[in-house]
Amino acid sequence: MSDPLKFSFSNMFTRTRIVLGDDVLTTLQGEYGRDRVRRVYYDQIAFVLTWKTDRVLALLVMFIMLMGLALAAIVSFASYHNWIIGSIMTIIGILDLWGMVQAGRKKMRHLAIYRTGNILRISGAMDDRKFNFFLDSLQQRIRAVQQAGTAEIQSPVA
Amino acid sequence: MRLYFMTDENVPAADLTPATPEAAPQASPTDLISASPTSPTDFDPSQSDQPAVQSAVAAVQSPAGGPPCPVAGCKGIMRSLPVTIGTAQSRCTLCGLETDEFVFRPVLHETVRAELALAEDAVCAFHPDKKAVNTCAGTGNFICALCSVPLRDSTYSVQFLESSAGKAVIGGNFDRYLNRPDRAVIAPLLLYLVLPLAGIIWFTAVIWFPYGLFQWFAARRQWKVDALFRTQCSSLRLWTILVVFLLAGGASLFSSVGMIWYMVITGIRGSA
Repeated sequence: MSDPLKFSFSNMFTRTRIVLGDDVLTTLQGEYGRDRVRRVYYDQIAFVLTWKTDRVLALLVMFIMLMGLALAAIVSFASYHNWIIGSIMTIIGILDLWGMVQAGRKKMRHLAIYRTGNILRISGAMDDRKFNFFLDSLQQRIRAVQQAGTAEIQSPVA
Repeated sequence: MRLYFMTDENVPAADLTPATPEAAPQASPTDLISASPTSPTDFDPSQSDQPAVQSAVAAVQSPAGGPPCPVAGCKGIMRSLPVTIGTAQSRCTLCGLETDEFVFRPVLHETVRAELALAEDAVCAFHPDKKAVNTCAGTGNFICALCSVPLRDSTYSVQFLESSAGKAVIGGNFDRYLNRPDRAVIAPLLLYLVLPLAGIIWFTAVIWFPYGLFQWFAARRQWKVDALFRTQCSSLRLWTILVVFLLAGGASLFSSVGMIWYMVITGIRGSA
């Protein structure tokens, strides 16, 4: 029994965590005080489709926020000579700009897992290298289970 | 575009051949790629003798569809694109979505149909008209094929697994929610940061400090018994939360109690 692998797909307001166990993929969607758990047993999976999109909405929101912060910083510096507020606005703006760069680098990843009669869809931003590692791990584990032909629940992280 | 050809070294070529016609997989470009020889440039799939490769070629060339489009609301079918060596892609026939495609072979499960009981047959405890085929390892009841759930080396009834005793057997394997009391510890700390702005922090610590402490102990208990929770909340994280909570909450509680004490004393002296 190998250690479960953990991954997370982050959206603007939610984060989906994924645990790859020996015989089951578990997704956890965060709610306050609890996580919604969905389990997909590897032996039931027929197809996995993946595609990626740009994070247009996140970039747009961050760009609008950056414009607002820049305006507030300029007003603070120029009109009121308020260096403290202006500096805080500038720092937040730089962090926002850094977030925009990160959002441009990380693509929105979509995953559709086809199992017995239904589709589990997972979306979120993830680094390319990490996503490739996730896909390879998932593929290996599914093939191992489907070759063994086991359907029994074996691991405690099921 | 990622390259997938010959990446799956664990799959022997012989295993790609389906054992029975019923167990035949939905052949795919992935099978084609996995079954291809090591020098892909010399490979002509249509000339291959391997059954898996032939079925994969048929799937690629067949007008019959693949899986439905994963986009919500789209009624299209994902159709495999012409195979270029090393890639496995599909495109929706309606919305045009292009995806990377992985095809697997689900394990077939034999479905046992519940038989109607004859006059001399033992009947299921939960379905009086069905023939009993097993005994529940949890309750000892006769159960029919509908109620039987094979688990590890025993057979249990659905009804037993839904009870509290059954949940002790299967652990959290079928739970739909995972409680996160560790988050409930963090929430009061956020209040600690926000409430000073409202000027009401002094009186709230008396309430949320014991609540947060209670939630931490609940998280600690869950950490000991729940493997899934342990994957999400490490021991280091749990103890870090406690230390931060005690530092911030303790200071707030001290201030809160001190302020209440001061107000009581002032009130007593004022009335005297």
